[in-house]
Amino acid sequence: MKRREFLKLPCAYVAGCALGGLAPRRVRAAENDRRFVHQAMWFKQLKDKKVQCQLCPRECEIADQERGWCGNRENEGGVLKTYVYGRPVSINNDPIEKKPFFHVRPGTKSLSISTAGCNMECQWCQNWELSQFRPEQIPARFGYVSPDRMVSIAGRAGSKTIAFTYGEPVVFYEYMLDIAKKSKTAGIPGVMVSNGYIQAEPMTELLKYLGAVKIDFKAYDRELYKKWCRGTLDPVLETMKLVKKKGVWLEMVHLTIPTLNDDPDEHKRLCEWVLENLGPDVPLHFTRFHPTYKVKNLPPTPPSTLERAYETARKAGIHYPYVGNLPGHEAENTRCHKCKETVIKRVGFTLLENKIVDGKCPKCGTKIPGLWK
Amino acid sequence: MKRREFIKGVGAGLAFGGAVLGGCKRDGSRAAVGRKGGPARVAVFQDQDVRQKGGLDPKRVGGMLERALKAAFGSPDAAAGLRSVIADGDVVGIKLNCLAGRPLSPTREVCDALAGVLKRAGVSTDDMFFFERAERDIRKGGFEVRRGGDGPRFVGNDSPGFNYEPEPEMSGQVGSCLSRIVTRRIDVMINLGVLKDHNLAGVGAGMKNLFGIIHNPNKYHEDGCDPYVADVLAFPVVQKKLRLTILDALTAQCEGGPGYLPAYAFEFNGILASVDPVALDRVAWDLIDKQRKKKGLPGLEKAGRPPRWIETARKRGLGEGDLSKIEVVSG
Repeated sequence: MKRREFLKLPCAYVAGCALGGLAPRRVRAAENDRRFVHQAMWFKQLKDKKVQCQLCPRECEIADQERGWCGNRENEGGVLKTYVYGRPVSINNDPIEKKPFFHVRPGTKSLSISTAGCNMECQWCQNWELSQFRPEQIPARFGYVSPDRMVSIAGRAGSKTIAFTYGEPVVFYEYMLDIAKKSKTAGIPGVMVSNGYIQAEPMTELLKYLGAVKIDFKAYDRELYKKWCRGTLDPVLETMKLVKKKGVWLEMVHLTIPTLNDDPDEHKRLCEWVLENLGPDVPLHFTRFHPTYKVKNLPPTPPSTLERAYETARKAGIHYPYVGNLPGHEAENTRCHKCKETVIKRVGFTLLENKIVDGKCPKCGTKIPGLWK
Repeated sequence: MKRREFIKGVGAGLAFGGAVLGGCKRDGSRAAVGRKGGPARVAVFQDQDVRQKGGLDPKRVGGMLERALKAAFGSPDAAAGLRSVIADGDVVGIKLNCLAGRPLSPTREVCDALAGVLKRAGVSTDDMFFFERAERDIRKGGFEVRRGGDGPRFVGNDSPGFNYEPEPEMSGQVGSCLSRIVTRRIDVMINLGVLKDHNLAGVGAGMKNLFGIIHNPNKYHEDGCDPYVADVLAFPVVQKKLRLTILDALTAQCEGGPGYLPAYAFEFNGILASVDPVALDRVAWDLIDKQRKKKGLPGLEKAGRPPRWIETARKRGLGEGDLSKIEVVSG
C-alpha cells in the first residue's frame, strides 16, 4: 500500500462516520443514574397511581411512569420524582448584569446554574438547548453537585449571588430551594431568573430564601402567551404581585420581538399595570431579540423599537427603564429618577462606574431602590 | 440482475406485496394501505395456547407473528412480505415501547420471532436496531443494551453515536429534534408497540409510540395528543421509512395506561400487524373498547379521551381511520 493510500483510509473513515451520523459531537455514556432522582414537592396522589403536580399552573395529571410537561418530573408508582436534583447542566460565574439584574450588587459575579427542562415553550427561547430537552438528553458533565457543594463553589469563586437561570428554575424547584436555604445562611443570596409560571404556595415558600427575582415577561397579551409560549399570562402577573408583596427585590425583562410584542400600545398597557400593581421602582428592561429556535424568520429587534419602548415606559412613570442587548447604549445606564444624574455606567455586562453611596444618589441624595450591598 | 431490479421487473406480477395492498413501494415512498387499490388491512391473530407452564411458547409466538405478517402483507409468507418493503442492505430499526416495564412491553419472544423473519427476508442481524427513547427504557423492558457485537442491537437515542438532530424540524404543530437513529442510521422503520390504553391519548398502541423518536414528547400531550400524534406520523422521514406497525398484544391493557396496572391488564394472546398505522390504531381502539365493556368501563369516547388524532390522521391522508373501511383479517 502506498503512503498516499494509507493516509486516505482514516480520512475516508472519518468522513464516512460524519456523514452517516456516527461521529457525534459529544460522545457520552448512557445514563441510568439514580443519584439525581429526588422526591418532588407539591403534588397530590390520585387514584390508579396517578398524581397531580401542583408546582406550576399546568397542574399536570401524570400517569404512572409518565412525565409532566416540563420533562423532568416523573411519576414512579404514584410518587412524583424530580430527575434533576443535583444535576446542573450549566454552571458559569457570570456578571450579574448578564441576568440582567441592574439593581442587585452591580459589578459582581453571580454563580449561574441551570438544569434541563422548562414549563413553557417560547418559540424564540434563547436557551432552548437546555430548556427544551429532558435531563437524560443532556450530559451530566458536572456529576452530582449537592446544594452544599454548590454554595461552596460560589464562595470559592467569589460569587456574590447564586442565580437560578438559563433554563427555567421552577422545574428544578427542590434543588433551587435547598441551595437557596444554604446560600442565604452563607451570605450569598439566591436570585431567581424565571418565567414566573409557578403556583402561589411554592413561590411563597421559596421567597423566604431568595434575595431577588427577575421575571422574563413575554408580553402583556394573553393570546401571545398561549400561542407562542404555551402558557398563560395571569399566573405570571400574580407571581410578580406576590414577589412585590413579600418584599423581595423584583426586576422585569421584556424581550421585544418585531411584530410579536413590539406594539407601543401594548407597552403602554404593560407599564400601566406595573405602576398600578408593582409601583414605579421595578426596573423594566426592554431587550433585543435575536432569531433562534423556532423563530428564525424575524429580524433582530431594531434599536429604534427598543428606544421607543424605553420612552413609553419613562413617560408612563416607570423610574428605571432600560434597553438590553445593545452594548454601549445610553439607556443601559442607571439614572437617578429624580435629578437624572447617571449613577451607574455600564457597557454590556461590564460595570464602568458605580457612584451610588449608601444606596443613594450622590448628587441629590434620593434613595435608589435595589440590593446594593 | 440485482435483486432490486428483479423485483422491480416482476413486481407487478407478484401476487403479494404493495400491488395487492395498494401500498408499500420499494422506492421509499410509503403509501398507506387503503388510500388506493383496496381496503386497509389489519391482521389480528390470536393463539390461546401461546402460554405454557407460565411462560410464552416461542414457537407458537413465532407462528402467530408469521400468520399476522402474511395476512398484513397478503404474501405467501412473512419473509416475502417483508421483502416487499425492505431492499438489500437496508438497515432496519424496530421502535420498541418499554415505558411500562417488563410486564407490558414488547416481549422477548416477539422480538426474537421478528428478528428471525427479518433474517429470512435477507436482513443481516447486524443491521437490526431495536431502539427506544433511552437505554434506560431498553433495560426497563427487560432487554440488555447491546451497542455492538454480533446480532441485533438494542440501543437508545442516548446511546453513544446517536442523539438527536441538532435543529428542530416542524410537522404541523410539532417542532422537534428527531432521533438520529431514525434520520441517519436506519433505512426502514418497523414500529413495534403494545396494545394498551393511554390516559391522555386514549390509545397508546402504534402511532403514539412514535413519540419516542422526538426529543420533546412531554410537550405534546395536551388536548388528548391531538393533532400531535398525527403530526409526528406526518414527518417526512417517518412517511418515508415507516413500513410496518406491529402490536404485541400477548398482554394488553384497557385502562390505566401507559404504565402497567395489573387490574386492567388482560391476556389477549395476540399479535396485530398492518402497513397502515392509522388503520391499526383504529382497530386497537375498538379492541380496547371491547375489553373495557367486559370490565364494565365506559368506552374511550364516553371516558372523555377518544383518540381524535386517528381522525386527524385520516383527514390528512396518512391512513384509514374509518373502521367500516378496514378489512380485519383474523385467525
